[in-house]
Order: sequence, then structure tokens, then C-alpha cells
Amino acid sequence: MNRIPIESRFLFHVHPLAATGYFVALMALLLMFNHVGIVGTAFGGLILLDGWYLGFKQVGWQLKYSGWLFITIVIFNVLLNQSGGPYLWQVKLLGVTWKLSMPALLYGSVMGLMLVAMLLAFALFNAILTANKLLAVLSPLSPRLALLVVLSMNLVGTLKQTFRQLALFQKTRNIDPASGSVKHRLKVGMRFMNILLEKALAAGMERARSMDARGFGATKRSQYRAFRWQIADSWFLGSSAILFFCLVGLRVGSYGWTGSALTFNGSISLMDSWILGLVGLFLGLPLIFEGVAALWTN
Amino acid sequence: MKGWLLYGRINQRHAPDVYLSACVGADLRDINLKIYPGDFLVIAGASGSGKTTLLSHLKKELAPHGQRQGRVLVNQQDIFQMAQLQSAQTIGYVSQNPRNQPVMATVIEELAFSLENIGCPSAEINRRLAELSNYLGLDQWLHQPLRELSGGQLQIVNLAAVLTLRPQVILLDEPTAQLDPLMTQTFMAILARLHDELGLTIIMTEHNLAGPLTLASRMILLAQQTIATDGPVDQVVAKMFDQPALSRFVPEVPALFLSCYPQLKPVPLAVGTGKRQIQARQLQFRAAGDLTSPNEAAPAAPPILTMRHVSFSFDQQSLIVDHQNLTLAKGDWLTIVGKNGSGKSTLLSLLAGCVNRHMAKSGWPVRFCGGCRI
Repeated sequence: MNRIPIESRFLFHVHPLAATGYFVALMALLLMFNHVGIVGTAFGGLILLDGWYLGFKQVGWQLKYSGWLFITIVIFNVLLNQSGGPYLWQVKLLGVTWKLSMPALLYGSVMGLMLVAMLLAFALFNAILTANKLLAVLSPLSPRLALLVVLSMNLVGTLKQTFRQLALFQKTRNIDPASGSVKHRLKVGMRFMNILLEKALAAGMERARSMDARGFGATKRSQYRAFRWQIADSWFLGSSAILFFCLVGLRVGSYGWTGSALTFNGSISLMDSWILGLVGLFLGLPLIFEGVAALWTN
Repeated sequence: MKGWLLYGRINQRHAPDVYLSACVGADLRDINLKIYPGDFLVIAGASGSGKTTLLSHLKKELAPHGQRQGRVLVNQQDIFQMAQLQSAQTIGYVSQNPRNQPVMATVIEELAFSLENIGCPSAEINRRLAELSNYLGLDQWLHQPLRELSGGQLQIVNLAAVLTLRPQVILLDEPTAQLDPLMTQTFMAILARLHDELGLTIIMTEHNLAGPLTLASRMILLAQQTIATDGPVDQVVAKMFDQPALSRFVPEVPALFLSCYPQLKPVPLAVGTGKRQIQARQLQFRAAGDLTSPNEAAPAAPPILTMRHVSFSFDQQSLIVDHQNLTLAKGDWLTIVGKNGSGKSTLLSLLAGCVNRHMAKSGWPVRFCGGCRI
């Protein structure tokens, strides 16, 4: 069965301002809590959300690449955090004892999951808030900021596209960033990154000049397609704001946050489960509204 | 060295009331140039002669950093004193790489972008978009994502995005450098219409002169960072033909006449004018004999690369390469010809073994034999 295109979904048609508000709150929420259960719920919720809007194939592809980032963060945390207990495993090497402690593992996993969840949220943000919506939201505040954001988003696309082409053609010269030893991969990867950044920056500069040449930032922008504020936008933004401020209140009360990495554990208190539920509800809001909109339409 | 780059727009051809002059550092020097309303000016020159630098000086936002002396005036106004809003609506610019200009996601958003920038009311934007998309035949693409367009289509959208602002002058920096011959012809035909029907002033730099020469009303040749020749196209082409470094840029038709009848004036630039000259002046050409290499029966060499029933699809719906059979022997020279989107690059990628994971999952049988590695 073919997936419904994102352009036909509720979230895509939410007013850009309401959608921006939702994503800003989502990004803030991902940074507000470091409880393993809450972060895990956010991560799981974002996989479902991204899968619903972008397709699980794309989510799988993204997880495959960001998985390396997750593993790197966990490894560094485990290596650099030798305090706290209990120890899961330890080894003596050259007179130094290396310990794998539960708090270090949990803390590293939470940090890694937070980053991967941010990347998932950013992928959805990128698909929902297209360039014209971003310009509609940011231009009245600061045209230069809008220019910078649009260019950055294009830069990511250019980087991805150029990397694919570069990797494809360099394979014919037996230069493959996906094979060989780790050292070889790093060396090839760094060389590729150098070329990619130069090319993407040059393209970005040319795009900026082209925008300037077409009068961007010269005066207050108009919109060829007016984004009208609907009642559904008020409901969506209102519900998001209520949930967000409830969660902020709980965070201010020091719930869902462990101050020291040494005392990191996976236990879930009653308040944590409340936060867990609210985070889940917050992430499920677009899907709930999707369902309500479908029922309303039919 | 110091010098002046002059670009001017005047109201009457023989009574200039405006001059412009801009500057130069080591890249350009002693430039003096007046451009008249309705001119179609082609700037030619070897690589590194300063074509793009010269073009960049004609618009404030594109002016390169460096030491500049002189002035550039448009309608008696120095372009460097011009407000950005006025500049956008007076001088348009299309860059060489069609992928580097677009900002938005779809064609209609990209066309509207320029008008939104100048604060055009919504109704006026819709009116101008409808008008322009009809004029350029973009109706079918309007809601198409830009990433799905070919380079040629994208360059037409870039041109249209500039035209929505109704500029008086359009600057084009080698706009067809990355287009195939068919798309180049289409693009040139659009420029010809804009010039003839709307009277737009067009200034373009170009390496491939076959297309623009027949359209241009004037040409300048840059050499050693300055204007070496400025005048009617046929005269500048004749001077180019005399210079060994530039003669290879002269298209086939004028090159043929210049090599056989160097004194002929005006030099025909297209087949039609060439035929008329031949008939009017009873010109005669000596056949050069059969230039094609004899099709000798080569000894049967073992194939070095063989494709058997290779098919390929990106979306598992439409085939880009359809049951392709191909055998290449050692020393063969194969040229793959076809219009945009016909599958040339895909076929070449398959031949080179550049089949990435996305391609490999397409499910179509991809088989090579004879030592080709995937």
C-alpha cells in the first residue's frame, strides 16, 4: 500500500507559526529531561511520528547512520566516567583498571538517545516547515536570520547529495569510505568532508548572492499564498502549550532530572511516570489531531 | 593597473545621456562600455579573460571584492548608490550552475520568491505568475518539486524567477554551460522571444557561441583583461577566428566561410544566411572528401565488457535502462547520445559499476560478464 504523501497530512497544513511553536517546544523538551525512561519514550515516540510522516524506511536509514553517533557517545562516556557503581565489568590493562559502571552506561545511552532523538525531530521539522513557511515565520522578525536558516537547510541537502555522488564516483577509483580499516575509513571520510564543505559553502555563497540579487531583505516580504490561522491551529498550539508548560512545571520541581551522573539509575517514580505519559501525549498530539481532522472531515 | 569598466544605458542610440563606469583591479583594466536599450550583447573570451568578473560589475550585489575604480551607471544612476529594491527590479541575474540559484522547494514557490521579496501584493503575484508561466510554458511544472527538474528545466525556472521582477536588463553568466544541446536550443529560443517580443536588454557571457551568435546584436571580445574588440557579431567573430587561442570557439558555419572566403562580409553566422550568401555570390566549396574513417572490418577482438538484458529503475515503476544489450571490445570508443533524462548517465554508471545500494535494491536483473566488476 502506498504511503499517504506528507503534503496531505494534518501537520503539514498547520499554520507555520503553530508548527514552529510545536517544534521549538519539542526541541526544548528533549533537552529538559535526562531520565532514561523519559528519553526512551521521547525516542520511541519520535520514531513512530517520523515513521508516520516520513516512512519507516527513511527512519531506518537515518537510525542506521545516527546509530554510529549513539555508539560513539556511549563509548566515550563509558571510557571517561570511571566513578559510581555498580560495576558491570572491569578489566586491568597495563596496570590501570577500566570499569564499566551502570551509571556511565545509562548516562551515555541517555545522552546518545537525546542526540539521535534531536536528529529525528530535526528531520521531521525539515519536512514539515519547508523554506517558504520558515521565511513566512522568520522574515518579519529578522530577514538575515531567515536567510541564514534557509541557507543552512539547503546546505544540509547539498552536503547529502554531494556526498552520495562523491562516494559513488570515488568507488570506481577504489576509494570507499564504507570499507577498509577504521583508520582508512576515517582518512577517506575526512578527505571527503573537506571537499564537501568547500563545495557546499561555495554553493551556499552563490545562493546567498542570488537571493540578494533578487531583493531578499530589501523590504517587508509579502506572501503569495496567505497562511490563514484556523481554529484547528489554535487548538493544536493551545494543547501543545498546556502540555509543554505542565512539563516545564514538573522540571522546575526537579522531576525527571538527575543532577549527578554518579547517581544515574533507571528507576521510575510516580512523578516520572506522569512526565513519561505527558511526553508521550505531547508527541502523539499530531497523530491525535490527524485522527480528529479525519473524523471531522468524514 | 587602473582602468574603467563602463556600462551604460541610454535613451537614444546616438545621444547617450548616461554613462557608467566601474572599476577594475588586476583582473580587468581600461574597460569602457556603453550598452543601449534592447541590445543583446555577448561577452566572449578565453577562460580567465575576465568575462564573469566584467558581468559581476554590472550588478551591485554581485560585485566582487577588490580595488575598484570608475562608475557603472544605469539610467544616470550609479548602481552602487542604488537601493537593493530598485536594483532587484532593474537588473536581473542568472548564474551558471542552475542548482545553485533556487531557494524554495517547488517551481511556483521559487517564482513567487522574488515577488515576495519586493513586497508585491498577493493578487499581483498571482497575476504575474499566471502571465509568465503561460508565456514561458511553465504551466505543467508549476507544482513540481525543483529537485525533480532537469538542469535545463531548472535554468528556465531560474530565468523565469528573475523575469517576474520585470527587470530592464538581464545578466546571464554562461547559462547553458551545464545544459545538453536540446535544452540549450530551448533556452536560447526563450531568450530570443524575450529579446524580440519584450525588447529586453540581454548581456550574457558564453563559451558555446553557436546559439547566442545568431541572436546577439553585438559582441565584445575580452583578451588580456580588457575589451579587445567591440562591434557587430560577424566582425568580432572574424577577429576571433584570426587568433589561434580563440578560433576553436568559432562555430562551424562562420568557421567554414572564414576559412574558405576570409574577405566575405558579412560573415554568415547561421546555415540560412550562409545559403543565401552562397546563392547570391555564387560561392563554391571544394569537397574535402570523405572525412569519416573507413569502416574497416576489425579483427574479432574478445569483448572486454558485455551487458546482457540489463534493466534498471529508480522507483521500480518506470525503466530508465530497458533490457540493454551491449558488447565492447578492447580499444572501442563508445559515445552515448540522448536528451536529458534519457538514461545516459545511468547507463554509464551501470557500466562503471557505480551501482549504489539504492540502485541494487531496485530488484531488476543487473548482470555483467567479460571481466567487468560491480
